[in-house]
Amino acid sequence: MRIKSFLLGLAGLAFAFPAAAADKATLQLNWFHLADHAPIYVALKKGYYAEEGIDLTVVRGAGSADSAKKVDLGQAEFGISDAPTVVTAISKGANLKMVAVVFDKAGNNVFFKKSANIREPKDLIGKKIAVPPADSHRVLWPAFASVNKIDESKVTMVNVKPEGKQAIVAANEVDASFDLYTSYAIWEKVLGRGQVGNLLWADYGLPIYGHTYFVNTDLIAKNPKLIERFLRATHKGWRDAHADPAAAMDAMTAAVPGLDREALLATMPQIMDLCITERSKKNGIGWIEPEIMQKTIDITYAGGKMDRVVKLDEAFSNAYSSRIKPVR
Amino acid sequence: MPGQENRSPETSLGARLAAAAGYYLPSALVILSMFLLWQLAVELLHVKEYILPSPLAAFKTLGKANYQWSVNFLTTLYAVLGAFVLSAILGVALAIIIVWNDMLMRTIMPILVLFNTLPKVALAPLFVIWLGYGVWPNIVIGTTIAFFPMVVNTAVGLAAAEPEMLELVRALQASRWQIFVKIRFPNALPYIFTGLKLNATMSVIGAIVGEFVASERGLGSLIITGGVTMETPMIFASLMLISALGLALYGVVVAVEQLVAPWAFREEPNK
Repeated sequence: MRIKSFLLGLAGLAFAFPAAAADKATLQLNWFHLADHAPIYVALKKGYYAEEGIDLTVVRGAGSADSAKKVDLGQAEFGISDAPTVVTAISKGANLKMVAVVFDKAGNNVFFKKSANIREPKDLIGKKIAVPPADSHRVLWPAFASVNKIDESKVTMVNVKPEGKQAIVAANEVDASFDLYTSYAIWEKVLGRGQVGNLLWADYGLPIYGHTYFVNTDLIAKNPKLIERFLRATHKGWRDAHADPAAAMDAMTAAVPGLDREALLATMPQIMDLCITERSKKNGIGWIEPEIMQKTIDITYAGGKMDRVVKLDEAFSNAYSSRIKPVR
Repeated sequence: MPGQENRSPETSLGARLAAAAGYYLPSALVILSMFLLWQLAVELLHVKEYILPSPLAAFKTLGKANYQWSVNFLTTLYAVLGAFVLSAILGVALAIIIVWNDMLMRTIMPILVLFNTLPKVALAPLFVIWLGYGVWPNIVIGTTIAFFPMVVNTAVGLAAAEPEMLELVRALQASRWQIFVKIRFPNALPYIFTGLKLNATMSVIGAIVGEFVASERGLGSLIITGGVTMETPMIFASLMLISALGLALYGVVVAVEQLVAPWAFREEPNK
């Protein structure tokens, strides 16, 4: 026994790692692999998680609600979900807390064919819009409509499966679809290069949070340092992906089979625009601004799906913030 | 057990009902105790409602007006009935065509088998592109899922007429049409009802698959919404209604079978 631990200690010294075995952790993604997951893979490839003593497994997602559920049930340590979904889950008794935002500007967005002649939010009046049922866009839509003085009753919502959004627009069954900006590549693939029009909601007066990293409150009690280490490694990945998007995409396409590298890479500039902002340059990547989080909770609560009000300090904490700043 | 001793047609309705109640008592008891076990497990293990609600919580959701149960139920009901009727007609018609001519059988049957192996869940999103969304496309999707057992069962039934019987009536110069109406079709009835029973449950699945892909209302639409907003009691309430709908449709088929082809029904317990 003693010899074994001595040898382990030696091995630890030799690799300049802490002697303790790496913490095994699982990251539950929000959705299948899109360009905004590339920073995680560059961090894996460059060994940032290993340096922090984390043996990270990344699991493909099936929607924000599913991720929230899995982290609450302890099937994953870290999750990525929409902030509105996380606060809804908390209101229903899930033991979750958000610890960083993925995007400082939410990617909520409307896509349409360029030929649809939609130039500003008001042009959506009288249109049919495909939205997966109770997708976060549905929750935010009343607020977006009111900011832009759109009469909600004059816009028709059509339920579609998330995978069917592009096809139903391509087939002219509907005029537009609410979908995250990060899906741009898929839209170009279906509608044709240069044929995709879009309006980013954040550009039209809706300051809210979208995707966030969150944990189970058990982890906060048991191993809060792990959260800090995870975010540091992850945000180093974002910093590097910001500096060299192509290398980040290579890291992901090498690790995950079946991805369209070119299409995903094409969306990286927009993704970086959402993540790297004046605020993240000042406070570090992933920093949560209390005011915007409060607004996000208020809008979600107004949507009527939360079981109770969730307080700000219950919803999130900046205590584990990485303070990693972008290089440019 | 009905059909064992009570073979005489003059058996009173009351006695038949009592026999039926006795027949279904064990399964009713099992279902009830399953609900009880579920209720107890949720309460004793303190399962969060959004992970798994108790059956009582799900049942109570049926009283909430904001889910517009009647509108959503009727939407799904139309799609289910539509798929059921269309599958029945299409299934029997195709089976007749297949059995009518050996050449047709060899040509069509492999295509049907091929079509049936395609996972309709994967095809459903394409139906939305081709046909749009709403009750009609859902009927079509339901039909693609439910018609196959109709065809196979009916075809087997039509082909399974006793050869001696066929030879006898041929010797008596019966026309093809007469053979069909008097021998083959009555002989196929029990098989057709087996097909209808499968059709009844598969039409329900088919309609829900359609609603999962694209819909403005319907129980399937509610389930998808509930999955995202974490309204799990509402999901289970929808599932209860869907099961009830499936059971009721199945029950109607069994009742009609008893009226139309009582001999088929009475054979069943002995199989």
